[in-house]
Amino acid sequence: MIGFFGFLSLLTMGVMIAHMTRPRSTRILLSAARFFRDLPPARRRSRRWRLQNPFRSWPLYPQLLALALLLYIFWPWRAPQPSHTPVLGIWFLLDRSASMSVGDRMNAAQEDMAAILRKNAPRVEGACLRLSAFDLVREDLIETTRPDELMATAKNISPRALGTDLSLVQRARTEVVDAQPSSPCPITHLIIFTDQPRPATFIDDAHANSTPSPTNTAVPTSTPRQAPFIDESRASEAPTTSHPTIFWRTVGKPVPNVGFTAIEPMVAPLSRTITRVRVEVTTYGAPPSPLTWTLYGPDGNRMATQEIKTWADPPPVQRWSRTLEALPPGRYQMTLTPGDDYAYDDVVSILIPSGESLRVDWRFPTPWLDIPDWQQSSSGPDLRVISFQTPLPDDDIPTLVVGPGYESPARSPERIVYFLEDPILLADLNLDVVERVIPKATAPSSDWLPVLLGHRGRVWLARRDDPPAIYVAGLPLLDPQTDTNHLTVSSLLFFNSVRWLIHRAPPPTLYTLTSPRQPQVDLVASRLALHPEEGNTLRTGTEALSKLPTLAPSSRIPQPLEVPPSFLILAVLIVVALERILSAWGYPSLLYPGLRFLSAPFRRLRPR
Amino acid sequence: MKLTPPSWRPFPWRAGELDAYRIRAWRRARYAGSGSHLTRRRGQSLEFRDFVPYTPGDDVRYIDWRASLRYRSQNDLLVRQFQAEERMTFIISLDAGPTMWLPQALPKLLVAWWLAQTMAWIALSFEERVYLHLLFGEKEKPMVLAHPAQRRHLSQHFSRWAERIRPTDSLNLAPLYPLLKPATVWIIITDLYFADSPMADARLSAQATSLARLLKETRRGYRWNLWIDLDSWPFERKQLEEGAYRIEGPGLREPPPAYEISATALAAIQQRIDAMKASFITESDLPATDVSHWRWPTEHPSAEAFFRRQFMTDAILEQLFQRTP
Repeated sequence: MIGFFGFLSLLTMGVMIAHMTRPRSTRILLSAARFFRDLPPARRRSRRWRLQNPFRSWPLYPQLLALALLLYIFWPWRAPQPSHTPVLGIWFLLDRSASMSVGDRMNAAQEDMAAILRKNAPRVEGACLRLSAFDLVREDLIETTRPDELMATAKNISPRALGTDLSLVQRARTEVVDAQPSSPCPITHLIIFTDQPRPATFIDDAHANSTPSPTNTAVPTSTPRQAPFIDESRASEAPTTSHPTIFWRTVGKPVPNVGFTAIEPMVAPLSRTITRVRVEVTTYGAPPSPLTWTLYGPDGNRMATQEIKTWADPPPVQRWSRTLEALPPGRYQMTLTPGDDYAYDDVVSILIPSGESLRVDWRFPTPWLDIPDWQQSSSGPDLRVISFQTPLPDDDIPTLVVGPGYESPARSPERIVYFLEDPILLADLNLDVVERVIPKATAPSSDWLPVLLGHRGRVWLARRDDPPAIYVAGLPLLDPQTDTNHLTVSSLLFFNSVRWLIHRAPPPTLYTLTSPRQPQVDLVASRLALHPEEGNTLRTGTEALSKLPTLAPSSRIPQPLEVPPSFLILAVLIVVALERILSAWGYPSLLYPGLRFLSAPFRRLRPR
Repeated sequence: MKLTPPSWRPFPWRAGELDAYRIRAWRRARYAGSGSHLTRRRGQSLEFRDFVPYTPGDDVRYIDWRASLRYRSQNDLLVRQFQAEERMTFIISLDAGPTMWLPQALPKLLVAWWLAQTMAWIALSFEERVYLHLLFGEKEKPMVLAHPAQRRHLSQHFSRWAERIRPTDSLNLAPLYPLLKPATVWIIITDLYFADSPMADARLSAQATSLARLLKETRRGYRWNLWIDLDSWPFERKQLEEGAYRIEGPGLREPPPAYEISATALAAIQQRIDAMKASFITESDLPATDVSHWRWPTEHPSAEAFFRRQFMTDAILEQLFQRTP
């Protein structure tokens, strides 16, 4: 900044001096002009030093304007030169996800932060210090130059019942790289405190080859690898604000944990009724013995209990699951005893919603199919069944369009020439058999996407997404006289279509996850902290904090010069051309009052 | 270089100001002891009232030579005054040449136009006849104003007169000859820059020589000639500092030549202008008391303020209106 203004001052002074030392031949209009005829002509390009008021010269103003425009053009794009004063900016990113509640991980992180600040005390005094906490979101807590203030804020951070999003760390690093070197708080060091190992994708671009191979963040199948400081290999290099040095501080020791990891509803195929619930329990490390699972009913009474058998020589990760059948609607609670250090997955609460029949608007002329859990309803139906002769309504209700049916088995087979892979629509279908069940010669319009198409253009199935609809060749042939192929194929096609339509909507949920807006676990509202992999407390190192990093100040790196906007360059050219034209042809006398006004503050400069 | 006439700004007098000026001039003349004849009314009779010393502009036909020889010296003539007096005639000759269109900050032509208008207004108040004459023009006839009622539309009359202004070098004296009768005051408003001769061996230009000759002749015929010298050189000189300038203006070639301006050069120009004016005065036999110099202020002036101040303090013009009852 000082250099810029110094340069600006020098240029301005140069222009001023040029206007004081080189008298330009000013044009002036005089009534007494005729009396100048006999005067000697002016000497050309006189450079005689002459103290005069430069502000009385019109060309000074456009020249200053052009100068200011030029400086403005190059100022924002000019990267600062390497600073003579080294810069130190440290950004602490502290993990406060649920797994940091295990043991003394949060305390360890805070102590480690304090130790780093103590070790680098002379250098961090006055440096730019920034503290952010992250779990599923990042929250920037403080930006200060006082380490004690930073630590006071850090001490107030406590874990929240949320998962860990390590992409936030990568995003923070990108912010540092993308930040302008002239930003008020340039970051040279990024220090991350977390119990998570460094993700494989977190590789420094400039030193990817020299960086040790990254640790896999998937569920470990063996003893977790010791997570090194991510940039120890280049810690001795001088960091810069555009490529900050990164220290990954892995806190806490691996501890075993047992907890619920999945609770999934299983829905009836032709309705949205929850018929079963699958419960999964995962053990990380050696589980306690005995380990007991207990289910409590809506009334609080114990409904079931079971001891979970684990292996004598357990692998690092074991999974146990159980399916709960025919649970009536209500809120249930499940526990694992005994508890462990990570408590968020030891007790869960789920809500079985009251089962409702599927409301079907049956507009097909053939009588109603008596399917369990189906209920005829024309207002707000979950499914609509219409004939292919009926126009498709333009709304969002899933619609099954039923074609004219199938031909008698005497015809020659219709070879399938095109089919669209769809796990639900084509489930359990044998296409060789389908080719013998020939739809009648009616095809849906071209805005349908065929799923099964024969060589004579016969269509068994077609679909469209907006509005959601399935075209099926016919109703299930449930007549006892019907041959097996027709019975099977027509039934599968029809009910696969129904499943496809009614399972487009997400299945009913048994619980909700904690979120940054509601980070507290609430068993009454079935709000749980079962975030994926958050309960894997084995994933951490044991010697990660053995060495405290030394934070070296850095200098700023100049950015490459970018091309300034062309319209500004054009403006400069116009101003320069205008100045030249006015110098050649004379400044309009109408401007003289303006010149007097501009030069009024400088009249005292005029020599007497 | 293309010059344009100045914009004709409104008459710079407020209502009643010129009446006050006229009454003040009249009172001063009364206290000067010229006698009761100053209060006489105009009439058509030729009844003798008094002898008064001759003042320029008096009709020479009324000089009483015998009484003058008897009572006074030859240079101090006595004029007979009558109850009814011949109406005086004001001929206002305006130089509207290109040099009068400058300086642009305060054009001389604008001041001359205001002055002519002011004098016409006062003269019409005294029921005198006024001829408005352009000093340069192609046989441009003077415009006559003869009735006091014409004061109410004086601005329109002058606007029409201003429309006649054309850039020309031909001196327009021929239409004046029949008008320069006895009891005529001829007022010439000019900067006289046209008098500068392009010939090195001539002191005055041909136009200035012709004008000076006519002035001399009319003065011999006891007409009163006044020259209002509009001198803008002090203002223009102030614009020039030492250094190189491209000077442009009437009388210089195009493109404008560059001159090295110095104090010596400026003094030489001043001297040349003074010499030219002195030469003209000599040639035209104008007494110094009949030349009024209106010198432009050195700073950028307010045109109205400059004109009002100059007019109010001009002793020669005051004398002119004192003798006009």
